[in-house]
Amino acid sequence: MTLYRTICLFAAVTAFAPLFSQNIYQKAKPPAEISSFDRFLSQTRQSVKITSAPEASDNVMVRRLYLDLLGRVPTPKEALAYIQGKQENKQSVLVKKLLQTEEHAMFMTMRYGDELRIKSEFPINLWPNAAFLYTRTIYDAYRNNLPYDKFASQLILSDGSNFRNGYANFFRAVPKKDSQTIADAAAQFLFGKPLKKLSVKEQKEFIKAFSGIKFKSTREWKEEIVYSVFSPEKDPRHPFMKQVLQKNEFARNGVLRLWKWIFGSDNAAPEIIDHLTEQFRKNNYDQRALLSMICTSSAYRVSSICSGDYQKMTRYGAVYPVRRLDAEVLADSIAQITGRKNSYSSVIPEPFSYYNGRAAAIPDGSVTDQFLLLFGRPSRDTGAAGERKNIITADQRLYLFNSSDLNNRLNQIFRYKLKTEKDKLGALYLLFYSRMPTPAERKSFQEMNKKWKWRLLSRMPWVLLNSKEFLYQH
Amino acid sequence: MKKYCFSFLFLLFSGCYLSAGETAPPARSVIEIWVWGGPSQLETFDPKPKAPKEYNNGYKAIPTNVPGIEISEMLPKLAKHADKYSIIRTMTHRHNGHETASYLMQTGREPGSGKVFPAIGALVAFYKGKNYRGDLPPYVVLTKPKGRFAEEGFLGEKFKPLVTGGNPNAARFSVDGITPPGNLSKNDIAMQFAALEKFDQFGKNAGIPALQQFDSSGKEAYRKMNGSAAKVFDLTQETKEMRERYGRNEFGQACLIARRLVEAGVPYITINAQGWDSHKKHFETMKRKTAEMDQAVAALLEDLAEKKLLLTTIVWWSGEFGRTPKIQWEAPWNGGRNHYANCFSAMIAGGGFKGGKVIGVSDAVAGKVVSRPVAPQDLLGSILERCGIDPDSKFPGFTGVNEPLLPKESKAGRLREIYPEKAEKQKGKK
Repeated sequence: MTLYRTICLFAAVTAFAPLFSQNIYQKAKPPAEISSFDRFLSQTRQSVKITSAPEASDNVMVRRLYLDLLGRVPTPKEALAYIQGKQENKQSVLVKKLLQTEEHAMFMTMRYGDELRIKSEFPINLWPNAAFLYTRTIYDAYRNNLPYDKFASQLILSDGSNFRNGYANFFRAVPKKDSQTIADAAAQFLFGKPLKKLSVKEQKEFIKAFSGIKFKSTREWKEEIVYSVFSPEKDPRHPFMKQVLQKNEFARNGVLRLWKWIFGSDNAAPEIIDHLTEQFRKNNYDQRALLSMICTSSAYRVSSICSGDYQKMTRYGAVYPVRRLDAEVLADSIAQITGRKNSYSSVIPEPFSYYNGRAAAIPDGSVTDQFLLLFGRPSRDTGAAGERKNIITADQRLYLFNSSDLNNRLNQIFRYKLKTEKDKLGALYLLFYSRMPTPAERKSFQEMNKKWKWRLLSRMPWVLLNSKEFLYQH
Repeated sequence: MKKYCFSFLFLLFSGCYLSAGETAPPARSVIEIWVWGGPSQLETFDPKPKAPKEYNNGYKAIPTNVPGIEISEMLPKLAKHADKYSIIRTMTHRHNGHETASYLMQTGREPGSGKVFPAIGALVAFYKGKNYRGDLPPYVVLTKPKGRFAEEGFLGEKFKPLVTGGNPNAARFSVDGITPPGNLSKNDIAMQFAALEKFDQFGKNAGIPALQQFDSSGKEAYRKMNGSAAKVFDLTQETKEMRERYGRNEFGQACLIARRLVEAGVPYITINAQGWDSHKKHFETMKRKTAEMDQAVAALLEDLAEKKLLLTTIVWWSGEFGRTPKIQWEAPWNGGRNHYANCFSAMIAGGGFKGGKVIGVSDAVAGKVVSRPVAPQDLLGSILERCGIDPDSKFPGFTGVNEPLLPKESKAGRLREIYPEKAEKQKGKK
């Protein structure tokens, strides 16, 4: 009912304003310069003779922000609140609001979990208790806005029980427990590249830093104590970490990681990343401040549709790169739209782990389902970025076309969410696309519905679900 | 009587094939019956009627159609087809946890090497897939994923099996991703695709790189759902008698689908038979599970033989381990059997493997290997070898992997005693 009322209100307010008449995806002009970072971006683009695509429309922006920062589509209410908002700076207000939410911290924890290989079974053997604790520890750190340099130090310098100190699992979430393997994991995390890509000197430093790490078991099943054979004063990890924190590469990798999480790839001009790295260091490694800077910038506010060299424009933040929704984001968005929660389980190890709720909040990479596997959720075996697959395949399309489970869920929309709606088509568009249908779309629908003996509405959830506008982040 | 006639004909046929001066051809397809959870060896292929009651609970052994071979009275139908399969009574390894044991039994590898090796299904799909041109993926799992680990291992996404989902015993076996949901009319399906074409306007002709695969993947998907692939899963094309023969239950009908997949040329099919982890109420579980298993597997072997497909189709049956010989009557088990990998049974048939043989001898309670131990890599290596794939050859072209497909066979070696004659001789010359 509330939804219907909101839509009526919305319809009344906008009855005389041609809301989606121009272009439903973009505004007329490129995004305005509102910050010094924007000015820097403009200058950089000018120097390589690139013009930015127009600014993204409000309905695109609200969807984009919820997907990137919370990992799900906005609810109709959330979408309308933004679209109808009259504030000049509503974009940055929403960014700030979303960055403060628990959902955002949870979503970032998932991203970190991928990279730190948080899973209970094979080839990483954290065991469920430790996987849960490790996830929770990262969540708390992010939620409390622990600066990135402190966070990295906590991981690298941790010791103690894997069931008591979540950070200590950094040393256990590796396929082997020798100092070479640990050094490789550390290089991957700190500098974003495997050990073998570092200079010979650096490789030695890394291996030496972890030469004292040892493990011992306790009387509690699967509990392990991580400890260093050196006394705290002589532990080579301390001087090593001090040195790491001084390096620009360390801060730069922290920036590049967040950029990748927001734009889906690290295809960014080095000068842009360098500029942000400088800001990141100035802001004492405040990750949320950095995200805020990125998400309010013109590089983010720009439309995803442009004419011109797409790759090059992506590099300079002149177009927002389109990509398929991440597996967890897709699962969570479908769950939200259809109103049926997902449940996940791990068949290994015993006792089986279960998780009901957001796919993005699953604290353990071993807990999964067929959907997440099919849509390329990372296996968390290596922690490399390439583990996540965002390509679209025929098998995925087949699943979306034909899955009976999905079909049952789509039918539920009518049974529950839209039971009392008058404008069912409008409500469906809001659910899936975070916008109302255009007059042209409504007209097409009427014509087609008549032709197919008024059966079309029942299949519209399927149509919207299978469309690019829903399946892609844009 | 009829059944014996058929198997006789089959033997005659296979005999002709061999006497034509060729070695038995490599198997074309493999059906794996994955008895997940760990089936008890005592109530299946290694009964111990003479052992004390705390081991056999009074269950007996029955003779089979091969003189001298006895199996559990819980498998009366399979007892009539012992000439078609061989029994391995001395499978052995050291992992009593599902996860590690499954990995070992599926990949032949000890867990913990830091690499995720592919399961045998993915391996066969990898090699056989090269010459396979069907619409279905080369590796199909009925109906639920094994999910113990990434079966494709480092071979990658492409060799991940198609897991059907659905229930083959339902009025319409809806295979997620292949056939449309059961309640949609042809008209509805045509309508929704027409509407998708009309309404899906985002990014049209905008040259967005990420969208390029969308259309091609959609076309491929549409072709698949309307092609021969979908028909394979349509059990209404089988007679009522045939469906009854396999048993009208999920497992039975999955076995029938497996036969249809073999006919369609799919190289590797796994039937994931779940629910054998009988810690509690072991005997009640076994009675229920073995009845379905017995009927379906007997029907499958018989049907494959009748259709002259058994010679080119390997059927193997095993769990990740067996169960403790001594029954646990104490609480909380109250008549259960625990995980037991030290000595357990497997079954293998077809693909040129000789039937009517027993490999290995277990002790008086089926708890220890007395002679001829069979390691997981021996069993898997034999299957690969009969598929024409050399288990000792190296993984081609995977960076960082410089290892053979399987670890070196154990001292007792692969199952050469049941290889077809010519192939055995060839191996002997080596």
